[in-house]
Amino acid sequence: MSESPLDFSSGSARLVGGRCAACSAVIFPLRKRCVVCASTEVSRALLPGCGTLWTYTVQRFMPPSPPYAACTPETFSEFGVGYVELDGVVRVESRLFGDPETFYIGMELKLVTLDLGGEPQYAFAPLDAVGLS
Amino acid sequence: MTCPPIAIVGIGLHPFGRHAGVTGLEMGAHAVRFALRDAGLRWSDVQFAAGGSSSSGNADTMVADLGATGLPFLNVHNGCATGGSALVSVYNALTSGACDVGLVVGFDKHPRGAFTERPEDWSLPGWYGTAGLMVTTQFFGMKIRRYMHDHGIDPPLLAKVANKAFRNAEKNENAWRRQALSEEEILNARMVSDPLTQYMLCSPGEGGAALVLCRGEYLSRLPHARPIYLRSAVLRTRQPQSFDVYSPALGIELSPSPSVAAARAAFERAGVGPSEIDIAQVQDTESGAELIHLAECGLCEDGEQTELYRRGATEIGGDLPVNTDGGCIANGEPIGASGLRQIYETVLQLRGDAGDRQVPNKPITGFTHVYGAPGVSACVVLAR
Repeated sequence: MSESPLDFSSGSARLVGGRCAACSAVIFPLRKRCVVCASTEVSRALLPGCGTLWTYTVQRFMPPSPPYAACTPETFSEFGVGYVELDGVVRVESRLFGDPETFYIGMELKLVTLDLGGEPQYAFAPLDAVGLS
Repeated sequence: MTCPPIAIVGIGLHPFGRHAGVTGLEMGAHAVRFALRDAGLRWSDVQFAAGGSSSSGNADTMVADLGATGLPFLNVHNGCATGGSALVSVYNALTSGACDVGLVVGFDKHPRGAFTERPEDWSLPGWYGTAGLMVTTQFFGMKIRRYMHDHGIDPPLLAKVANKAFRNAEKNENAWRRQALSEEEILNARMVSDPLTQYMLCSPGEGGAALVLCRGEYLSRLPHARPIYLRSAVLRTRQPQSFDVYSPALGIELSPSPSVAAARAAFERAGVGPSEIDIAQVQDTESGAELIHLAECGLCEDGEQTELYRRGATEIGGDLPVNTDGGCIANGEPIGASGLRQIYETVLQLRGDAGDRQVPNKPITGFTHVYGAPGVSACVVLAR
């Protein structure tokens, strides 16, 4: 269960999910058994890189660390969290990059990577966000 | 399905709040002693017990304080449904005829601040915690945000819910936060998980609650008992693709919350419909949860909440009083104790013993509901 949720094989970051041959569910993250029907017929599937914001909140206080990445009250800054609907196939929970005051339901977003130390993490950012990949 | 009548004959509570120097187990044992005294029974009369906490120890070790009578005592560790699950266990033992007298206890003592959980303990990958997603308040913020969007609810209603909680708690000597706050103060307080402010969210806390139950036939041995009948007690977990706590992904077509299934089954088994309920205690982890859970449990329609609260329907003197003791918002959340606190309050109200916060017109039926991570709910129907 510790596999990275990101794939860089095509040069740019993609989210790694799964598609279940038994019940056709698209799941995230990828796991051996389907979370919907428990079948083992789950194949690796790269998820769409763009989507729309379905709901969101803002994490205003520092989450307990661990499990949160190494952080202190001095280095912590608030961040958005939301569910991003990807092409009508699945809604993925994600950190949101950008100013929380500008978020709205239905906002268009793209996948980016986030450096919290250690393995790269994923986030979604507004389409016009620059300097991100 | 016809079940033999099961009666709650004793209730006990350790005040909620912060109690330096008192352990969670001691609070649980305190509640047990009060429940036994209320029932007119001794610990040695109890034939089966179940109970637990989320993070404050094993319930069965409280025999050190109550007496090692050798009774079967089941430890329950089931998140926010710990109390409800323990109650279901005792209820089933009583209806099956395995015992005549049973006891349920729940307690907890959490440190300040958000709950700390390990992703691996929740069937989740480690990166979920590292990324900062292992925080329950995020779920509640996101769920109510979408619900408000879909059903036309505005932020002032969230403040109204919390305002009611603190006003009810003013009249409850066992509550933690007993100071009334204006809707403006609540709305303008520090934002914690948008759109939820500090005073809209409950805080992890401390407390204990216990119930003594018996089979109907046993009541003849308790001439002073004022029984309140447990008409049903139902526990349910989540379905695939539902919108629940700690969900890395959701389906496009969402399954209903486990609260929907638990409430439906509880009403069906009780033979009582939601419209016949006189008083309700629903999980108010935060203001929005109270609004959503009323609809999920069938006590109102989606979107009807604004009008319901505007006309005071959920007030102590309203058509459907909700969270009459101040709920989790004013009592705090000692996870193991909250579900049983709701039943304690409902029994008090149905007996007519709730003092300054007594619901008028002699309520006959009550309903309680808990919900928690990772998608578990327990519902109970009670009647005089």
